[in-house]
Amino acid sequence: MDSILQCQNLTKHYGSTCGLNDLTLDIPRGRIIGLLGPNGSGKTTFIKLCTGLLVPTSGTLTIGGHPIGTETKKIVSYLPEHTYINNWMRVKEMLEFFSDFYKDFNVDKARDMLQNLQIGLDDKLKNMSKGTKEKVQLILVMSREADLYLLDEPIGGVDPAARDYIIKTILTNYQEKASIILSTHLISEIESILDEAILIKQGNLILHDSVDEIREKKGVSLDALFREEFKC
Amino acid sequence: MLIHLFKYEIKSIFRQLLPFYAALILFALLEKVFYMLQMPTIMSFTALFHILIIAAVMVFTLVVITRRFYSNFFSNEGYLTFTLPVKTWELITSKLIAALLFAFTGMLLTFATVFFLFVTINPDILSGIQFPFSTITPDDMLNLTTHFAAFIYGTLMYDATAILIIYASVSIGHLSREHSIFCAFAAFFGLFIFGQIFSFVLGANYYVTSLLLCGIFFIITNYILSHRLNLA
Repeated sequence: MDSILQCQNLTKHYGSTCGLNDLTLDIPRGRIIGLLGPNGSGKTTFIKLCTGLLVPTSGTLTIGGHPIGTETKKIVSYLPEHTYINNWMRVKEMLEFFSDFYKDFNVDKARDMLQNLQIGLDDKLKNMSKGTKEKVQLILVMSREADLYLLDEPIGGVDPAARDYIIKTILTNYQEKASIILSTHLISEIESILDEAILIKQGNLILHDSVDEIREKKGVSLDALFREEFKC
Repeated sequence: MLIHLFKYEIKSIFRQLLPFYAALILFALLEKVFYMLQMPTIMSFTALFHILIIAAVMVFTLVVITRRFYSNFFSNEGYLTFTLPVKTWELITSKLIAALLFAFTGMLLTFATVFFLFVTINPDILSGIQFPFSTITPDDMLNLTTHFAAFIYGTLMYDATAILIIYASVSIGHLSREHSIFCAFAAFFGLFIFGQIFSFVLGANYYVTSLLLCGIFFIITNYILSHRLNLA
């Protein structure tokens, strides 16, 4: 199967602390992959390495056949854990911003989604609640017709109704040839939508397999496996 | 992409400096009004405020430029900035050009309002300037043009060196995860001393050394942001 992301012996150290250790992965196109692990396991480190926000200590990483750089940023749509949108802008200015920089940004799709959530184009971002800002950010990210979506904890810290909306938005807005890597520790909420799962613990890869294979081989749900693997 | 980056730099900085520019113009106009109403005491107070605002424009231009660099690169906004499909040198260049533009705007506006004040107090000042255009020879014209170009280039280099030493210092500070502000200040003094020694050792004129120093500070900033970026 055609790969969208490949990494070989990818390692990241923060001083003497190991963030990610010798990770080797091959992510195919057209899959929804759960990047699972407890807090501090290296999920965000891996995603940041893929976006170029961190520079690896060693190893190689390519997306769409390109090393991390301008070419990969054109095809990767990234939703960070934090709110990154410019507070001084209005919603319509953020749409213009994304249109200016991303050729794959579908502004009509973004407008439709904003309208469905009754978020006005003239609304100021600084006056919005944290939850509304996160929704605007998700809409911007999912309105890109990217090859790879990197979603870092998209359902962490939001209410159950918002979680349903976020999952629905993710499922209905990504391209079929594209892949989604979705990091979370809330497995039960997303297990049903995952094709594959990557489990990491203290920076080390524990498991990478299809969710069906995991269920068949281990005889338990992904959520149960996670609880067993990472119990304190 | 440089044009798009430049557009958002201008928007971001302009909205922060606009109140200072408006205050500068307002106080220059108030001085004229109070002078015409023959209210010397109030005019003196207005002139005092005018001088304070001139100082504020100078200081806040530097503060806004520095804050824009820091927040757009190293705060949560950095998650968006560094995932845009643009080259790092384009990010730095767009900031530098916008910063130079506002440094010049502040200077020109200050000069214009002070000149306006002089003309208000003493309208004869204009008629006093009687330039003997008829006696200007082509050699004089060439000298005048050369001196004017040297003045503009000198001012531009002075501002660019000041801005780039700040960019390089903030970037060096970012290399320390725990003491970034202290390291940024230490880097500033270190680079300043280096600049002095470099100029002395090189022994070339100001126009050459400032250009070389600009190049060195730009390369330091570009290297750190391209190869040592670690957004926490």
